[in-house]
Amino acid sequence: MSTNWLLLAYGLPIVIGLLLILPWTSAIFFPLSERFPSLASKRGRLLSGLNLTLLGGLAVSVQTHWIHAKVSEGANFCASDTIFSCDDVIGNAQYNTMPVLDLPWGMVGFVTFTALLFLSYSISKEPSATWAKNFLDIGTLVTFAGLGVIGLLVSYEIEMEKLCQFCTTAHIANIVALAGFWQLRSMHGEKAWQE
Amino acid sequence: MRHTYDDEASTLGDAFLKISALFFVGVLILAFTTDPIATGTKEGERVPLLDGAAYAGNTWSSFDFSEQFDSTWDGNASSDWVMIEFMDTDCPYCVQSAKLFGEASEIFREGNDQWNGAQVNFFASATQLDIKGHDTSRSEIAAFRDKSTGFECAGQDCANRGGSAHQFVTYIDDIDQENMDEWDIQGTPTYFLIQPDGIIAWVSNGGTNVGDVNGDGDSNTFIDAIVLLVTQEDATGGA
Repeated sequence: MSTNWLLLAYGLPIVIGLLLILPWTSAIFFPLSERFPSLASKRGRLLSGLNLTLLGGLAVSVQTHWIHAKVSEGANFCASDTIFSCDDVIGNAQYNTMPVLDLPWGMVGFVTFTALLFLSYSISKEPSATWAKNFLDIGTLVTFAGLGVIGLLVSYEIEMEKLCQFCTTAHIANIVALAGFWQLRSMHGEKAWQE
Repeated sequence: MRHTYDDEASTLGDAFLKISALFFVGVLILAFTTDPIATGTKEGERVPLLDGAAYAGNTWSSFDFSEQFDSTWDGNASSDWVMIEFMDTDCPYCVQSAKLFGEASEIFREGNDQWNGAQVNFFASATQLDIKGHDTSRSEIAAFRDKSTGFECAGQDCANRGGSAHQFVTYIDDIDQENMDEWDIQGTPTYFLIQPDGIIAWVSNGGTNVGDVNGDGDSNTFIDAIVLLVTQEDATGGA
């Protein structure tokens, strides 16, 4: 399968998630609320968008870890002479693991998005739970800390003069998730949360 | 007896099970579709990076170790292997083995009638051990390689070391010990024979030029390792 189709498959839930999270686009999903009742409320749309985004982030992180493993085997997946060459980025032994823990970045993303999805999915199932506010705080904090990691990884890409499309998709998922957690956190305790 | 049902706990448990299932699906996909090779310095692992300027007889210039390897190598005899020695120009054992190392670099070459195997490219990563009297410099490393006079190597003029000039050996500046640390070198000299795809085929015991090639418990030199492991036209060698 072409890497572009794969990217599209991972990008689609993230784009839909973004549209559900953005305040000026989320209303376009209102007509679907008869089929999906949770889309009738702002909280429901935000949580649905967040779940979709995190699912896309989780899937693309698995893909980047898979590429990491394949490159270590000596295989090529998306090597290219253009600026878009995820093999060159993910296969660069100098930058492809987390400092100190020495974990591949794909695995770090995989675990992080799984944990975030657990938080988001739990809140969407029980929004009035006592732990919902704590989960929102943790989600916001983790995705905010993710910005630092993204900055570090982008600096590596600039140094290599190569761009990893799959990594960038995961980075975008983190930023969209931050927007979702941030809005939900602001809403919690307000009237809109109970609607 | 009255049971109290905790909705919140039930939701968390339910969510945990579903997301865990998703996580394990991801793990299973990775486990069944990949067979990753770790980066490290043991036999069977992929070599780490080797940084530093290189000297091959002209000037010190930048060096990209990864260019030595072809990750798609299929076992053919036309791809080059790599032999690398971690050494210190003031280490007596390194000075002693300089003659053999230089001779090997001249023998295991494409076009040599005495050798029908793949070419082996020879490298020496020259460090400065933290021992009194082991001060070195790029000029001293160049003198060691070229057998030129004016610098002291292990108590003698570098020009007086055994063997001839290492015209087929590329020396890498590791005076800051960065490569030694990255490769976890326990002593000098230490040798690595590396396949064309960047996988380590043989490592000598730390601080010696011998190690077991075929697991029979016998000590083999780096020459034995090349003869036994490097791909040859009549298929007597090979990884």
